[in-house]
Amino acid sequence: MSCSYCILRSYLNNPGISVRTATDSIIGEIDRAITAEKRHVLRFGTGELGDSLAVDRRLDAVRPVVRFFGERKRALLELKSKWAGLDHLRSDLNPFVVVSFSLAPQRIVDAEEKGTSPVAKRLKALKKAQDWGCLVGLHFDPVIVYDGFESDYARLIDEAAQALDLGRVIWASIGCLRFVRPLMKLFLEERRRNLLHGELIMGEDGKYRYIKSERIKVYRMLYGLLKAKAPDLFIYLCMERSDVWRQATGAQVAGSEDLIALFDRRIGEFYGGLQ
Amino acid sequence: MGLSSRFRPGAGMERPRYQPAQRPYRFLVKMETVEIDKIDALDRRFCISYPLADERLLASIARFGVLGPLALRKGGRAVVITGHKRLDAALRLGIGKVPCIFSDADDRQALLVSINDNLARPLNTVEKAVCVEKMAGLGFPVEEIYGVMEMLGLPAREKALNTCMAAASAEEPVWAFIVRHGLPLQVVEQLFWFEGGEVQEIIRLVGPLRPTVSSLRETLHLMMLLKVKRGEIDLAGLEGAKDMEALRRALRKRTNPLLSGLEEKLAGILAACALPPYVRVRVDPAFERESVDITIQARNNEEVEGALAKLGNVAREGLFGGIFELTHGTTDTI
Repeated sequence: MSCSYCILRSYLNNPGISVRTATDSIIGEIDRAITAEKRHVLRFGTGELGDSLAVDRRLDAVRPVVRFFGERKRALLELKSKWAGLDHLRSDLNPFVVVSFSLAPQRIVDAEEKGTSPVAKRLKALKKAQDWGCLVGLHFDPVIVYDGFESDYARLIDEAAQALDLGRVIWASIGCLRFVRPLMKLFLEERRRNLLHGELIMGEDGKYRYIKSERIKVYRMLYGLLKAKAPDLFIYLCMERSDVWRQATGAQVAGSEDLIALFDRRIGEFYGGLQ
Repeated sequence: MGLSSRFRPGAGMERPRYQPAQRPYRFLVKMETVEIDKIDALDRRFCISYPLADERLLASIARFGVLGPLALRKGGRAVVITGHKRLDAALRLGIGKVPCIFSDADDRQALLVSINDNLARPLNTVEKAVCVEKMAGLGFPVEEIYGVMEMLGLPAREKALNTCMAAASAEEPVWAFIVRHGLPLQVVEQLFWFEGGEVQEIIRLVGPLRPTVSSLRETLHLMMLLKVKRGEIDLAGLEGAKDMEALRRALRKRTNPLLSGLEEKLAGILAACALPPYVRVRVDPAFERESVDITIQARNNEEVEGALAKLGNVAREGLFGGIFELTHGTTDTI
């Protein structure tokens, strides 16, 4: 699996994948964190700097964690992936596991997400997860602006709406392409036209991203398309400024606490509060 | 000139395997005076100096003659190992004989002697590239080349090696451009990102604008971005820029039309505000932040009162509102 825009490309100097096998200690740590948390339903993920499922069928590393969350029943585990290999976990998947997939138009998957599952397979895997009792998440991140991206995203959202029960999508995220300075050099070297098509500025955090007016337009478009399909869908913006949140969605999200509150509310809708 | 000559270590090139010198080579320390036409001045296989012409050396030799001996390789018409600049000066001055010492070094040994001899002075990027290219040409192993690259202050990496190979095989005007503007390898790498014909056009475009390294770096970055975005770059359309800053602005209008539009609008509003010099309005350069910093650098009470009165008028006229429209990111700017 090699996504051209992956941040790991800017600092990894080893193509190997490290998998921590000390599952017991990891679970112990998670358990203590869950016990200590009195206000929120915690959300854990295994796909932050890697892919939750890409090599899991071979390594079977996620299963104990999945089982733990099913037994603990007090926090959520999100498996984030671009690899539609879920069947091996079927017997252990449970309602406390959110199965999430990144979604992008197939044109971008072909050009920029080499070695990942096609969109149709990702949607099928999400549907299976729903059928097996899991809630699912949709991550439109990174959204890449290129000629014709609007119609491609409209089609993608249509396909997602046809394939899935959007009422059982716990959250959807939208995040425009952003990347650190060393990746700009790589994208230029590799002449990545898709990734460099939109108008990029350097933000205060040292990351390239689309100019604000363009991001707002993109968010408004995708937010509108998703809400048209599922008015109650909880949609959040990834790593965005409060004014962009406001302009794009009307929501006041000034900081992480506001965002956590939105998550809490959404989780409450499906699971109730802490027990 | 293209990048087809790129050297790819281990990419199937048939190169003789490097063997450390089995036989020590010798310099015959006896200095001889050799007639200049006995030296093959056109054989520059060990020459890493560029440019050869050195006016200070020429003046010195004109006054004192060639004092330091050239190192020549024995056999047939003598080949220069070190002393190409001295030989060039002697030829230009019509000097008939030069002091020399002879060696029986083989090609690789002779090249290393030449590189070593030149390390005593700072080498320009072309000279460094030539060192690398000549080593590769003589079949030195990559590790050996990387070792010399490190000594030359170059990153010991395949990409830098490829850039050196491309630079060394470039034509003279490109070499002259690189040396005249003191370009480091990173900027040379940007230059050779373009195709051969484009490199020539870029040099023709920016050469007269007296670029600094940093201005050239930024300009090349924008040109690369523009080419990736559009698939081609219309360099002819950029002619007429009076300096590097004008060229940068013209490029940025193409790569960042929205941001350039915002900047122009902001400049127009600030001009209309006509604020005194001790009142500054600072807007985030990327127009990301909604808020705007307004600072007063007053030296006395009158300046404070004047600034506040002026700011009040400007606000009442709605001019700041125009700025906030730009920072909200909701107006179309082109």
